[in-house]
Amino acid sequence: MNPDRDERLQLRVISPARLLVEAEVLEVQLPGLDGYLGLWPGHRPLNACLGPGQIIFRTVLGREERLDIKGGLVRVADDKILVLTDMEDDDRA
Amino acid sequence: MPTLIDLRRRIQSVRNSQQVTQAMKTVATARFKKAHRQVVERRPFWHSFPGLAVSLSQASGQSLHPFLEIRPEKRIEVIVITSDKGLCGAFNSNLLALAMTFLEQKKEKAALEVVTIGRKASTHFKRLKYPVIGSYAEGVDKRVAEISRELGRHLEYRFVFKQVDAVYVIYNEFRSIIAPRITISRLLPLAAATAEIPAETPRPDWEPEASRIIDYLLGFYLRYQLEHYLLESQAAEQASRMMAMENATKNAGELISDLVLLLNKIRQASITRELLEIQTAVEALKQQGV
Repeated sequence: MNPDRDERLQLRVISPARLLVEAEVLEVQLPGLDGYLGLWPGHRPLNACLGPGQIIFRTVLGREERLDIKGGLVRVADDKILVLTDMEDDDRA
Repeated sequence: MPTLIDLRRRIQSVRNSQQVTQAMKTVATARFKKAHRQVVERRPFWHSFPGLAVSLSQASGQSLHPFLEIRPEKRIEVIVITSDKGLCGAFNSNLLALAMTFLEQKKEKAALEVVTIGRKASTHFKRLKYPVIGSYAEGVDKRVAEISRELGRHLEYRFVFKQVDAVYVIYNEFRSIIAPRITISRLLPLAAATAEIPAETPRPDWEPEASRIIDYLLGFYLRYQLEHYLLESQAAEQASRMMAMENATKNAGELISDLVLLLNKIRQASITRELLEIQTAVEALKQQGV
């Protein structure tokens, strides 16, 4: 579980209103539907829905940051993580 | 030769128009800044969303959602987005001209239906033979979310139940302040470009299963995409109004300086003439020995 120092993840978190996060990070934890998903560099491709919770990520400076989301969707491919979040679900049950 | 009083009146009236255009420019600039900020902030979402939807549906390897189904285009719905108000240069007329050529092209092969957004489009299509099935005019700029939701639901229903086979949107995309770019884009079916994914990429995991993820994602597609088109169009509208009003102000300024020059010439000529007349009278009286 000890990643190479050079390996990083590209994290982009986007909501309909704006770009929330665009950063190089060392690890990310996402609120999946069945509990948190931990992502490290070299993760295999994944598409998943997210539930409400916090996105927790460690930046290249080693600092941990958190972001509250209401749910959304994530795509992981080639160490690029794209999260779409906070889409309003008003007219669907 | 116009008289001085006429010229003065004319200059004053041009000056009044210039003040109006100047004020309109200021208003348009303020609105443009707001609309532009909104567009720039929202672009990351708009640009990643359709791409994500397409790549996910490709990765799943099958057609999992009705929006992805490509049918022969027998019935087409065209959404034309213009502004409510005029005085923004060629913004509306260029767009409507392009929309007409597009409709002419398509009408041979398919039944067309039009949805107009903005008062300019509504009045334009009133005079034409194309069936207009929906029309949003008046206060479009304040009802973006409401309109896109309502229209999104309408389109979803019509497309899923196969009442239409394709939906196109014609709108002004905001590119730069100088000129908007008129864009025709296909909203439905969602373009699944046939590019094959390279075989060596590992197949992604899905959680939950692919069909549910795509269902979830595409549930938002129409609404946010329509919102995108409307907001782009508004930013472009304010930008063209800003440009149009700036040009008008500049032209008025040129006209005023020309008129002032003419006024001064006439004024000086009349002074010279009056002096001459007085002088002649004086000379004449002298000769008579008075």
